[in-house]
Amino acid sequence: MTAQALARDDLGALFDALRAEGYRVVGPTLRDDAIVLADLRGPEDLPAGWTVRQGPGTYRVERRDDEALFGFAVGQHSWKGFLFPSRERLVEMRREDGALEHRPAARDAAPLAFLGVRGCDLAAIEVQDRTFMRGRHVDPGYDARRRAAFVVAVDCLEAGDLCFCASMGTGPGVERGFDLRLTELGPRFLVAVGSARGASVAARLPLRAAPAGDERRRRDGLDDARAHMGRTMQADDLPGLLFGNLDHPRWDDVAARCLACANCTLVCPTCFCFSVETVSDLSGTEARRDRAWDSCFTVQHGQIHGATFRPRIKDRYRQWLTHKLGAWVSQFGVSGCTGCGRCIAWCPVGIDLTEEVAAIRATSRPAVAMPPPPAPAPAVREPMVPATARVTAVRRETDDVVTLRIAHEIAFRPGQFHMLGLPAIGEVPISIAGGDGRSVDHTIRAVGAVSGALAALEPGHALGIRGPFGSAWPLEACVGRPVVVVAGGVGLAPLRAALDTMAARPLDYPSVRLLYGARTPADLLFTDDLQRWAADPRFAVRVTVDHAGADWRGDVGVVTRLITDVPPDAVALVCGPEMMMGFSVRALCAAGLPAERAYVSMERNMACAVAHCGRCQLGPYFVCRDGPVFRFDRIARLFDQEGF
Amino acid sequence: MQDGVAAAMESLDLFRQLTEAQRRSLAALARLEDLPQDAVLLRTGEASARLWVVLEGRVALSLDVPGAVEALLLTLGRGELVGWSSMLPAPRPRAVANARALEPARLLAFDAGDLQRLCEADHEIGWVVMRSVLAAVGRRLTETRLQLLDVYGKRP
Amino acid sequence: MKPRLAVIKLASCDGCQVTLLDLEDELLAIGEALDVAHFTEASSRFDPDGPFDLTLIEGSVSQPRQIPIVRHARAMSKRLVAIGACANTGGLQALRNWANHEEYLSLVYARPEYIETLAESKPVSELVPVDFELNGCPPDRHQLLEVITAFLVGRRPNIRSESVCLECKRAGHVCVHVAYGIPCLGPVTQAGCGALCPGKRRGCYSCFGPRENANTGSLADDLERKGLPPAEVARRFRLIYGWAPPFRAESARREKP
Ligand SMILES: Cc1cc2nc3c(=O)[nH]c(=O)nc-3n(C[C@H](O)[C@H](O)[C@H](O)COP(=O)(O)OP(=O)(O)OC[C@H]3O[C@@H](n4cnc5c(N)ncnc54)[C@H](O)[C@@H]3O)c2cc1C
Ligand code: SF4
Ligand code: SF4
Ligand code: SF4
Ligand code: SF4
Repeated sequence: MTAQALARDDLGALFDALRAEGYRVVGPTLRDDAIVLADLRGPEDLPAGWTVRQGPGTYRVERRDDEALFGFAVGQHSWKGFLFPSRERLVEMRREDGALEHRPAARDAAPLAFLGVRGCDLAAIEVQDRTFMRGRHVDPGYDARRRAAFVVAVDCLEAGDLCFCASMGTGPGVERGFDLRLTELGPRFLVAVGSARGASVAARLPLRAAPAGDERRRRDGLDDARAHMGRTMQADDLPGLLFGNLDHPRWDDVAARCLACANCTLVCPTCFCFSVETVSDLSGTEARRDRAWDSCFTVQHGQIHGATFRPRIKDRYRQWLTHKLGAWVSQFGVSGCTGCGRCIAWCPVGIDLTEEVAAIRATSRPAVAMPPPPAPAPAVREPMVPATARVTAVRRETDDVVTLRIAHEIAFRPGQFHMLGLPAIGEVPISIAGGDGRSVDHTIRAVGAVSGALAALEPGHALGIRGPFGSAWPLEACVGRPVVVVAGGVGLAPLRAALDTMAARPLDYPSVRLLYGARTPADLLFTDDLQRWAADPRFAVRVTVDHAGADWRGDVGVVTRLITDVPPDAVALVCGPEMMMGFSVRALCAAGLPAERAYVSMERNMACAVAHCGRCQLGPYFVCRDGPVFRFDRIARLFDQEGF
Repeated sequence: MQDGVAAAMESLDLFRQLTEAQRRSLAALARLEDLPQDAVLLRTGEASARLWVVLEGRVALSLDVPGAVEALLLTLGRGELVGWSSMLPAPRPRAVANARALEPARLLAFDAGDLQRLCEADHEIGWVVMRSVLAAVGRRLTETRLQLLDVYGKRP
Repeated sequence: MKPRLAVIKLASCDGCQVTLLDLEDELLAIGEALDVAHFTEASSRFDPDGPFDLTLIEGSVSQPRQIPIVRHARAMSKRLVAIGACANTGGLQALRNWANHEEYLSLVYARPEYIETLAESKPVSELVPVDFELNGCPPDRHQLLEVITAFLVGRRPNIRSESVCLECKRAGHVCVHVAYGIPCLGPVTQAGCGALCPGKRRGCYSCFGPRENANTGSLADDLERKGLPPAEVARRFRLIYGWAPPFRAESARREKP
C-alpha cells in the first residue's frame, strides 16, 4: 500500500471527520503561556509555531522559527486527565426508613478523540489499561472511556530536553496502538491507519499519495530524535537493582531535597493511585463515594488505624521510584515509566529520576530477584458498587469487639475479606470470620469512625458489602501436616473460618495447635469456639495474655513464649499486629520451621480492594490482590524494612 | 532421688553445654521438689536463697499492687528459671515479685550459695551456668519489653 | 433532641464566622439539624451554659480574659474544633510575637495602658486539647461544612493533610512555580483552599499553614536559587502562619542578623 498524506491546510477535515463520527476533539493548545490539553475547535487552536524549553523544575514556551503544529514535547497535562479524571463519582447511596440503596454513579460517555498522542503517552495509556482494564477487576468508567477514545498519534521527529522514551522503548515513533498516526513533514502530514475506526475516519479525509521519500524522511527524523534524547536511562535491570538497594545512602540525599509535594506522581501519565472520599448531606440520607487522585507522597496513602507505614519523605520517594521503575514490572508486567520526562520538569525543585537512578547504580549492591506478574483472571465488573445486606445477629465478644452475622449468600475461602460500608460514614476492609453459604460472620473491633459505626449495628440494620477479596490461608497445603496457628488479639478473627474448616475435616488435619495471645482475659474472642476446639482431641489450644489478675489459670506472657517444639513438617498460620507476627515468625523459624511454610496476613490501607487505588502496596505486591495472606519468605525482606 | 535429678538435668536444654562430669557435680547440689497447686516459692520482699528450674507444671510470677488485685506478670513452664536473682553477688536483692505454683509442679532446686561456690571453684562450670542464666534472663527481658509494647492495645 | 452547637470568638477578625454565615445554601439545613445555642457573631444571644455537642472556636488567645473562656468552652463541649489560622497557630496577630510587645502597643494605641494583652498570641491548643483543627485564613467553607456534616453523621472529616500541589494538579492549573518562575509555597502548605492563588497565576502564600512533613528547607533553598534574597525568603514564611513551628523555624534560619 502506498503511503498517504494530508496537506497541512486540510487538517480541518480531520476535525470535521472526527466530529462527524461523534467524537469530541481534545488536544494540545497554548493557554496561560503553557501547552495544555483541552477541547480544540479546529487547527487554529493548535500551538502553531510554538515549542518549549524545559529543564529540571522549569518549563517555558518559546517561538519556533517555523510554523510547526506539533513542534514541542509533552507538557504538564497528559491524557490520563481524560481517561482517569482527577475526580470522579463512583457510587451513590440512599438510606431511608431502614432501606439502603447503592447504585453506580452516572458516567459521561461522550467519546473523545485524542489528537496528538506521542509514543510515550500512548505507551502510558496502555500501562494504565493494565491497571484499570486488564486485571481481575475492571474499572467501568475507565473501560468505557478508553474503549470509546479515538487515538490520533503523532510521531516525534524532535526530542525534548527531558525525554528518554528511546531508553524506555516507547518512542519517539509510534508504531502501533493508534487509530490514525500523523507525521508532521512541513507542509503535509504522512498519515497511517491503525484500525478499522481509523480507516473509517481516513475515508473522510482528502488524502493523497505521499511523495516518494516521505517514509524515509520519517525514519531519518525518528533516528535523529532518538540520537538527541535529552535524557537516557538504563532500564532493563531496574526492578532488581532498586529492590536490592533499599538502604542506599542516596535515598537520604534525595529525601533532603524532595518536598513530598506529589507533583511528580500527579503529572506522571501512568500513576493511578486514588483516595475514596465519602460525601453526604447533613442527615446522611444521600451519600456518595468519590475518588480523587492521590499519591504515595501523602501520609494518608500509607496510613491505617494506629500505624503510618511511610512517615518519612525518604520512605515516600523510595516508594515512588521503586514502584515506578521496579515493582510495576511484577505487578503489571511492564515498567511504570515511559520516559516522558514530566516528573523532571514539573518537580518544583527539579529532582531528576534519571540522575537518582544513576547515582544509585554507581555504588549499588547486587540486584535481587523479583516475583513475576500474576496470571490473568476472569474479569469482574462494577467492583466498587456494594451489595446491600442485613445484619441478622450481633454477638458481643468483648468491650470493643462484636461479631456481626450478615445475611449474604456468598462463597469465600478462609482468610479472604470483605469491604463493609455504611453510606455516610465510609468503608473498611474486614476479614470473613465464618460463614455457611447463606450468611457471613464479621468480627469487628471498634477503633475509629467506620469500625465503631459497624460495631454499633443491630439486627435488621442494612450495610454495604463488597467482595470477597484477596488470598486465603493455604488449607490445601496443610492437609496431612501438623498445623501451628498463632493468633494475636483480633487476629484470631481472620483465622476462625480456617480453624473451623480444620475442625470439620479430621482426616485431613490430624494435628492442629492454636497459640493465641491477647491483652487480658477479658479481651479473648470466641470463648465458645476456643472451648469447642480444645475439646477436640486433635487440637491443642493454648492461650496467653499480657496482663491478668490472680484468678486467671491460663498463661501470662507474650504469645511467642508458646512457640516451642514445632514439628519440622508443620505449616504455620500467623495473624495479629504486624510486630507480633514478626516476632512469632522469627520464633517459628528459630524452632526449625522454614520460612516458606509460615504464612502471615498483612494489613495495609485499602480504598478499593481491587488493585486499583494503589494504597495497599507492599513492594511488588498489592495486599488486596496478592494478599492479605502471604507466604512469609516472599515478603520477608520488606517485612523487616523500615518505611514499607 | 538423685537418679531423678540426673535424668531431669539431662533432659533440659539448659545444661546441654556441660560435660558428663560437670553435670554430675552440679546434680550433686540439686534436689527435686514436688509442689502442690498454689504453693509459694517466693514472696515479695523476702531474700531468696534458691534457684529453681521448672520441670513440670507452671509457676506464676505476680506483683502485689497496693490497693488492687494481685497482677499476674508471667507464667513459667518447663526449662525456665525461677529466682534467678539469687545468683547475683551479695547483697542479694529481695524478691520484687511473688512466685507460686499455678498447678501441681515439679522443680529442680539449687541452693544458691552452694551453686555460687561451685561456680567460683570451677570456672568452667561457672561460665556455662552463668551463660545459661544470662541467656534466660535476656530472653525474659526481651519478652517483657514486648509485653510492655502492648501490641494489642488501641492506638490513639 | 438536636445536638447543640456553640460558636465562640477570641482575638480574630471574625472572618471564620463569616465563612459559616457564607454557607448560605446550607445554613438553613444546619439550623434545622443543630440547635445553635451560642453564636457570638450571628446574634447577641449569650448562653455560655453548656453542655454543647460541638463547639467551633475561632481566634487566638491574646488577652488574659480569654483564658477562662477557652477553659470553659473545653469543659462544656463534647467536641471542640478550633477553626482558622488564629485559633490554630496564633494567626496574623502572632506577628507581634517577634516584636517587643510594649513598643508595639505604644506604636499602635494612643493609651496603651487601657490595652490588656498577653505578650504572645497563642493557639487554643496550647491551653486545652482540641478535637480537630480546621486550618485556613479564613477556612474553606466546604471544609467547614464537611466538619459539621461529619460530626452530625459520625464520620471522620474528610480533611486531608496533603500539599496544595495536589489540589492544584487535580484542578489542572499550570504550575506557576515551574512555568513562570513565580515563587509558590504550595508544596509546603496544607491543602484546603482548592489552589485558589495558583489558579489566578499567583504563588501560594500559605494561608492554610504548613502541611504534614513540610520540607521548608528545600523549598527555601529553591527560592534563593530563583533569586530571592534570604531576608525575603524569611518574610514569605513569616506571614499568616508565621508562628507555626516549621515556618517559624525556617524564617529564623533564613534571617540574617
Ligand atoms: C485485609 C484486612 C482485614 C481486616 N480485618 C479486620 C477484622 O476482621 N476485624 C477488625 O476489627 N479489623 C480488621 N481490619 C482492620 C480494619 O480495616 C480497620 O480497623 C479499620 O479500617 C479502621 O477504620 P476506622 O475508620 O474505624 O478507623 P479510624 O481510625 O477512624 O480511621 C482511620 C482512617 O484511616 C483509614 N484506614 C485505617 N485503616 C484502614 C485500612 N485498613 N484500609 C483503608 N483505610 C484505612 C481510613 O481511611 C480511616 O479514615 C482489617 C484490615 C485489613 C486490611
Ligand atoms: S516517571 Fe517521569 S518520565 Fe517516567 S513516565 Fe512518569 S512522569 Fe514520565
Ligand atoms: S504508589 Fe506508584 S502509582 Fe501510586 S502515586 Fe506512587 S508511584 Fe504513582
Ligand atoms: S520528587 Fe519533586 S515533584 Fe516529586 S514529591 Fe519530591 S519534590 Fe515533589
Ligand atoms: S503552582 Fe504552587 S501549588 Fe500549584 S503545583 Fe506549582 S508549586 Fe504546587
